[in-house]
Amino acid sequence: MILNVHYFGMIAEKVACESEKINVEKSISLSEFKSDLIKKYPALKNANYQIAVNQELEKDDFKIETDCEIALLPPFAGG
Amino acid sequence: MLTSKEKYHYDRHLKMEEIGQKGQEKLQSSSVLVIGAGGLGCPALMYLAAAGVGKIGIIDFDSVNETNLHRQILFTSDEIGQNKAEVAKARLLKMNPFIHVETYPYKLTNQNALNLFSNFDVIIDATDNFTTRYMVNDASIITGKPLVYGSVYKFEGQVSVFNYKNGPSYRCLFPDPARNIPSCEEVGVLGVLCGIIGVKQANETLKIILGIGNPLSGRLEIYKALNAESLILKIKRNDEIIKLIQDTKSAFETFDYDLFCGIEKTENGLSSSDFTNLIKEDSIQIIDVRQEWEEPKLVYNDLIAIPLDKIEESIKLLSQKKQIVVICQNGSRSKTAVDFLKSAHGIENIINLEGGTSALENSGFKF
Repeated sequence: MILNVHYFGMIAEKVACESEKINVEKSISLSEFKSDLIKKYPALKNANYQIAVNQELEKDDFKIETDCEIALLPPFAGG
Repeated sequence: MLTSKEKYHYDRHLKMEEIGQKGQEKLQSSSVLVIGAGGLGCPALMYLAAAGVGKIGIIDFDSVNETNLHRQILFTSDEIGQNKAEVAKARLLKMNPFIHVETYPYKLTNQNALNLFSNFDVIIDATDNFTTRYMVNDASIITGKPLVYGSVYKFEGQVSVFNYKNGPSYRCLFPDPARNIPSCEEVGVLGVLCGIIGVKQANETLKIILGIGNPLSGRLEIYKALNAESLILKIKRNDEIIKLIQDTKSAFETFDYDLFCGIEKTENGLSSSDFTNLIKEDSIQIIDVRQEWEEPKLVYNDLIAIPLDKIEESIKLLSQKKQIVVICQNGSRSKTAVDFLKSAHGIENIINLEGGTSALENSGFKF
């Protein structure tokens, strides 16, 4: 399945892109997705962000079963 | 009740049946507290005042600085050095003499927050740091006030409405405070983005007061100024987290929000005055961990510029004999560098400049 991954704020800077398509063989949990992503981008190791799947914030145990839109969202401090 | 002068003043609101005289009177009898009269607070305040919100509270301890003027549109260069809340009040009353503005020219703390919040209908989070954001969120939950949230990072902004009709809170979105997310002061921000996000906050506030439309409760809007794209994400309420805060109402006043957000009270940092003395002796090495474009530049013989993300690969440049002083804009990235070099590399002859170049500037240091 194909995951359409979008990066925001400082996360986009750490991975040096705003979005990309990631191919995944079988269904995975969000925590597995996260650790795969850290292998690809070690800079994400201590990063703080929330993940939305198809525009809905989900927890680490959420299973990704089909093609979807994923957003990595860090908090912003500024005002 | 609206006077005939006020009816004329608000004519374009009154002409719409969705607002009308009834809605305008709701605005007149409503009260909104804006935390921070900065990049987000200024545009939000201008539209709330213009719309006729009857009582506006502004809390800000800070004074107007020249670097504020590219985005904080309530202020002029004549007002540099004056308290932001007071300057904002004078300007807003000129815009709309029919409203009342109350100023609180001091810091919001967990000692004064609950009392202050209880005097207002809606709270606007226009702050610039996580410590205050978590404090404002918790105080809104405890006092039962809707919270209109906005934040910015360079070219991107976030807006949401928290604690509204049993909706989620800021902690449901971000349960754990983030570490090392730089502020506008450190990485910059697009001035007009603050305007866009601040005005969206004003819009959400007016909808809540008027009871029209769909406030952004349970949803987070992310706006990307460079692509002119908006994304709306759904947020779920986390009852466990909210229950915990409501249960600890009495603990709120003693909770250490700085510590919670990773800001430790350091005994070991170097003060601006000690730094000023040391730099005259010419015996230290200075490591500047800011990016190369950041101002003001410090001129010193033994100074090496190493951005924070390059520090590990540049360790061999650090002096083994001299006292090393690490500096940045406000003392937070330099603190990270010092902690890292001490714990991961056992470097001992190293100290952080408390408050960074901002504190130096405030102490009258000549760059």
